[in-house]
Amino acid sequence: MQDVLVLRIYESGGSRLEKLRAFPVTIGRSVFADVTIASDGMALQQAVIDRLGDSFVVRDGGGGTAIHADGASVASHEFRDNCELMIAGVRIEFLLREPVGAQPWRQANREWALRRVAHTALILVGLYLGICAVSAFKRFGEFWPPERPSEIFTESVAIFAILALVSFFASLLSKLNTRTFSYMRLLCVVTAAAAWFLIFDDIADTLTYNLWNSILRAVFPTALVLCSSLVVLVAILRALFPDWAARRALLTGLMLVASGYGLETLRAHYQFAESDRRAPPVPFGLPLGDPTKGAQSTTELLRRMQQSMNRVQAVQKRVREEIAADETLKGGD
Amino acid sequence: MVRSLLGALTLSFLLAGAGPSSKDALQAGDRSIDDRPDAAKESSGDQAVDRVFELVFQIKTAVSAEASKASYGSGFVVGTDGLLATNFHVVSQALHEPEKYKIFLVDGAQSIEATVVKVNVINDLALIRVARRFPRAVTMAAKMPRPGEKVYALGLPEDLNKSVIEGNFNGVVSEGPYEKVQMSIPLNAGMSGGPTVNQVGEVIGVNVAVLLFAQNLAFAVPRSQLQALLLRQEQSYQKRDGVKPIDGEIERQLNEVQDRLTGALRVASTASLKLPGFTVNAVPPFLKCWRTSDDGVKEKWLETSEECQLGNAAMITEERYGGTFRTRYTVIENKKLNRWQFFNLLESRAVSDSASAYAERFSTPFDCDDADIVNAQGIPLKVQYCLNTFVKMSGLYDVDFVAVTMLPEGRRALVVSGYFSGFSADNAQALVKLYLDGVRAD
Repeated sequence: MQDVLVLRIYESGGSRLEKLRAFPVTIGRSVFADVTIASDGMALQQAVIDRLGDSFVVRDGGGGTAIHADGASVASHEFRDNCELMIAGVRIEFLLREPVGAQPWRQANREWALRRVAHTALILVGLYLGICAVSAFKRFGEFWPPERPSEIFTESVAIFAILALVSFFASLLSKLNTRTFSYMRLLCVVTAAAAWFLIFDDIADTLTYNLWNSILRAVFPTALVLCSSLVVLVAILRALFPDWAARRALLTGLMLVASGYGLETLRAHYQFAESDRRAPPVPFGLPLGDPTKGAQSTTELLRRMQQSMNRVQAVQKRVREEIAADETLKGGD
Repeated sequence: MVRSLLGALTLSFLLAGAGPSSKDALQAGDRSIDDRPDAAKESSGDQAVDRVFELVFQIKTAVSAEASKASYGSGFVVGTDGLLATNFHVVSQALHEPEKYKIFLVDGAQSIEATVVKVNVINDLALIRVARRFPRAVTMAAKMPRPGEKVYALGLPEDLNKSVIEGNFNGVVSEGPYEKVQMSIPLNAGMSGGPTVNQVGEVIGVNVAVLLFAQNLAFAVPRSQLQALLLRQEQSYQKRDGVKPIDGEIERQLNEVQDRLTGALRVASTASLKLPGFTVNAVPPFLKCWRTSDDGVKEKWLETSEECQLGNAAMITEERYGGTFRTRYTVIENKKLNRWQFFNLLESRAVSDSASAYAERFSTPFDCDDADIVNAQGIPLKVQYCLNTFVKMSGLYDVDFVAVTMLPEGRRALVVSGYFSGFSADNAQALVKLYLDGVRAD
């Protein structure tokens, strides 16, 4: 009796292997299917593979008559040797033994994954350049012609490189598995978006003034929370909107809202800078937000200094007592 | 950088007949050597210096009279009743750690225990007394020599033979409350506390320091400071008020000098100092200032610094000084950095050096804090300060602060830093406020 059935699934641009040991196995577009195939023509649960004595059978799983064997539509197909079927337009080979040297991560669709990485990176670059464009537009009146036109470009390249790197490592971590990679890609986008919102929000001054502290105290935990929330949100969306197009539309809408929020924050920020030009110069003007927010007066600083002095006096007293006790001890000897 | 001359020497001392008391030394020097022809000075010089030679001794700090020295310097007789003058730094170790060390006058193989009776920490002087009478004491000069005139420094350099070293007098340098005689004379370690005399053997100062990495540049405490200390000693002797606790006396003197320095800083702050893009408070004219302009890495930014410091300090211990300060203004002009890089550069400058300093002996650890403030001119500043205090003295603090501000367009920033050592709480706070509120953007 065959213990293993290996599926070679041909998707756009390459193929991947799925090793099956327990049956029945469902095939479909759903993330809850045992074998997920992200094809638009695929139903959520398109087909079921089951064991029938020494042979296997593939039958329709509720997605309609989409199983084709030798060019003919069938409701089910039994086989006891290697065979090839078209299920919802996707070519699948059923192999009774694992190909020699075959390893899933080597056989995976590298070109497809790289395209996804590039796609993600492009989305991020687009977002960033959009924000930069607004930035440049807002600075038009104040700094035209720009004294340092290369500045925005330099920052763009730096941020792009970082995000592309994150995206690349995410793809490696996912071993180019379609489902996992989708989540990782989403995490990258969400993390980047969250970072941007933070940059242009209240903690902007901390983020840019004390970057490492901010990463530890603000960006990292916030990104974690946001990413976790997004994973949950996506799962809910998948359940509520099984149709991929609807989910995509919703996600795009969310991204637009988020971008709008970022741009609005940016606009408000530059409005502050604009009004500030009429007032005495205010340091840390761009892009750190209002530097006077939460700032204290010099008198308040002196009050804190006095507290520090009180603290060192307490230390002084303790050290003196220790010295006195030490001398007493020596005297006792 | 001034290096003290505390060191080790051996010396034999010849006892002679009765000589003038400390009061005599105080009043001596009525004859002005300047009125005498140079030929007369030359002819009498050698013999006169020989007479002072006998009045110079090694002063050592040790755990007992028989023990080897822990540190050493020189001293000379200023009163026939057993009074000697030396530097404060020669005896400070024993003063601060009396449970460990004592002070001794070394006379050949004999060590005679000495007691500190008066100190002047501001000018690094001390009077010590030994239970012994001397046949005579040194004579004070009535006037200082003319610049270029020969002078002689006496002492026991490097724990070797008692020596007489010839040099030239170059005038008196005043820096606020501090005064010192500038000389071209090759002083060595161990000569601290020895006398500097003119050509007729009259004391014009007390050897105290050399300038490191300089050529033959040395300093002495002016004889007027020694005379003032002798006068105080004479008065307290007449009043029979005994020896005041030294720690309290040091504290009083440090308080006095920091009050004078604070006053000078306040007066100076009424004037302005122009820097590129900023105006800040001026500093007292007696400070030594340097203005430098340096490029950052790969000429990505330009730093223009105005650094001023007081060249003197009141030594409390070898590790602890007071009554001094330094300030530094640095304008950083951004040339090629992007904003993030520029902010990170400023962030690295907004940290006080003391934040990572180890606690020294006789000091509490630094207590640091930071704050974002807006000064009286409406300029936001990111401030970090660190402060500590002396373990043995109350109410005197070292305060180290740094403040950073940047103009809105991110092209130019100012870093203000200051270090005030041995200042009272009120004065330290007032000075920090003075410096921060004095920052204005042009």
